[in-house]
Amino acid sequence: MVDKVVILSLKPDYALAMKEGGEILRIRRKPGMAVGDEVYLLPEDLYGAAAAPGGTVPPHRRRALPQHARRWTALAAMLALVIALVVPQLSMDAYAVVSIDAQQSVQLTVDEANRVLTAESPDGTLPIAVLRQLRGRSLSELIPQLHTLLGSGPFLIAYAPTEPTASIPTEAQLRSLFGDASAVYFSCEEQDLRQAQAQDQTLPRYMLSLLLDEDALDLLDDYYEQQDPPDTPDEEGAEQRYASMGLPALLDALKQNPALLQSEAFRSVFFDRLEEEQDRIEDAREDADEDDAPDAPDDDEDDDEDEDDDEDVPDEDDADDLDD
Amino acid sequence: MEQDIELNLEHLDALVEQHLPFLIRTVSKATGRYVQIEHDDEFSIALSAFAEAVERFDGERGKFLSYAGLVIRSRLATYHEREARQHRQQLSLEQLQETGQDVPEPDPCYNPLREEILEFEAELRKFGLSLEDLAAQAPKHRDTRSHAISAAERSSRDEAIVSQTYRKKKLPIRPVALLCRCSEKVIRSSKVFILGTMLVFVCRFSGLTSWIQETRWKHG
Repeated sequence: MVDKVVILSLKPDYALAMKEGGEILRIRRKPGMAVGDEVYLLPEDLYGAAAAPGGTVPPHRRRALPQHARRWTALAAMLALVIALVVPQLSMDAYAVVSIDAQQSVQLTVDEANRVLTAESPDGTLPIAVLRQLRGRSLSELIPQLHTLLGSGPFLIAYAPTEPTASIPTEAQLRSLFGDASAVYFSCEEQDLRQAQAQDQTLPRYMLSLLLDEDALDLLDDYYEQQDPPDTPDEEGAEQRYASMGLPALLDALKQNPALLQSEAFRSVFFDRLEEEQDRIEDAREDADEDDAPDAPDDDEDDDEDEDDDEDVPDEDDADDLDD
Repeated sequence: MEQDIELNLEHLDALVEQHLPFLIRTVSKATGRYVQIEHDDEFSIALSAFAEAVERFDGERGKFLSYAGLVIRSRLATYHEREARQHRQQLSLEQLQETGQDVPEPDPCYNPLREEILEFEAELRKFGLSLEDLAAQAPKHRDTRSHAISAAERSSRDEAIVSQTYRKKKLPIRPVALLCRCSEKVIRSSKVFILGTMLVFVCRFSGLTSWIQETRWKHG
């Protein structure tokens, strides 16, 4: 993969460069670079990237699982997925909407037991994978996570029934969930919800716009902007977090929250770990078999590699031919 | 899997395209510098050496890329020796100049893109920003970046937004969101990148604009 970039700025250890399309990258410093140079980049030129593939270290080859193991793994995955999808849907009656604004926003539809049926991010600031993880959990479980996801307060919390006849969680219930957090509560009607949706606003923002003028809203925006942005877990970050966990820890996490199987990041790491465990068991079995069998030297593979190496190096005659 | 292209000069263009990363890597390793395909003598030499390797390669004597690498490195070494010889001669010209003889100095190469980048940096500084800030806060996802560029371009054409931006020294999030018909938080999450990109459009930095809009690659 080759990218054309323009050098924007030179730093002691690296340089800033712009790719076509506006992406700005940090790349390795090399002699003779100047601002405005248009150069071609290889993946190994990215600052912090590994060195160019030299071919001395063979790439790790993942062994394919045997057919029967793959079948069982797929079956187990499907079963877990079905459980994760079906269990949260058992009580499906939407009861109220709780919409929370801070630096970021989330809107939750809950059932009578305050269990989340759907979660969405009206302003698109929270990744779908994160929203999926909220489903099936109760509000009380989610509060610590919401603090992390939405950033620092004050929280603007609006709640409304989904149908005119439905009742809604009381402010006292919500206050008990949010504890000491600095928050403003709006008790809304079902028609407020429709108005907010029609104006493409979150419910709390819509309610606030009825009460405050634009300058006051700007002040609030400025306040949120000055706060440190919340650490929104993206799929990549989540994958890194899961990658640091072993299979038992992943199974524990899954037991506590079956909805994790809906996360691409979790599934990727979880199934990798299952394969590794399978490999480990098979290796142990092979080792045990080898211990029982008599030793037999096997040099074929080395011989093959030697032959390959011979092919890689051109004859000295070729080099001589070049010196015209 | 790359498709094998027959090794003969009739397919040279396709072979060059297929092995472009190899060519760039070989030249970059030999020179220790990044490769500027359009301007580097070394890259031209590498191309002709590659063509020579295609013509002379004997399939029974090893792998093509090993052979081509050897030819390219050999040709580049010859070129560098010749350059070094010329440099030594030039040094003696400088010695002549020191003794009072007049030798015309070459004009430093003028790069309009470099001038634009320096002006862009100065413009960013007015808003308390740097290129480093842009690098750190640019949207990582291609679609998000594309939406942000589109928002920046539309905002740059709106006089009220531009004047408010320069007056308040920050991006007016609400008017930009209204103009682009998206939520304020989407704009807020990319505000530094949108502001920086908007300045490129407002100041009519044509070179940077074409980089941002990816027009160069398409038009050549």
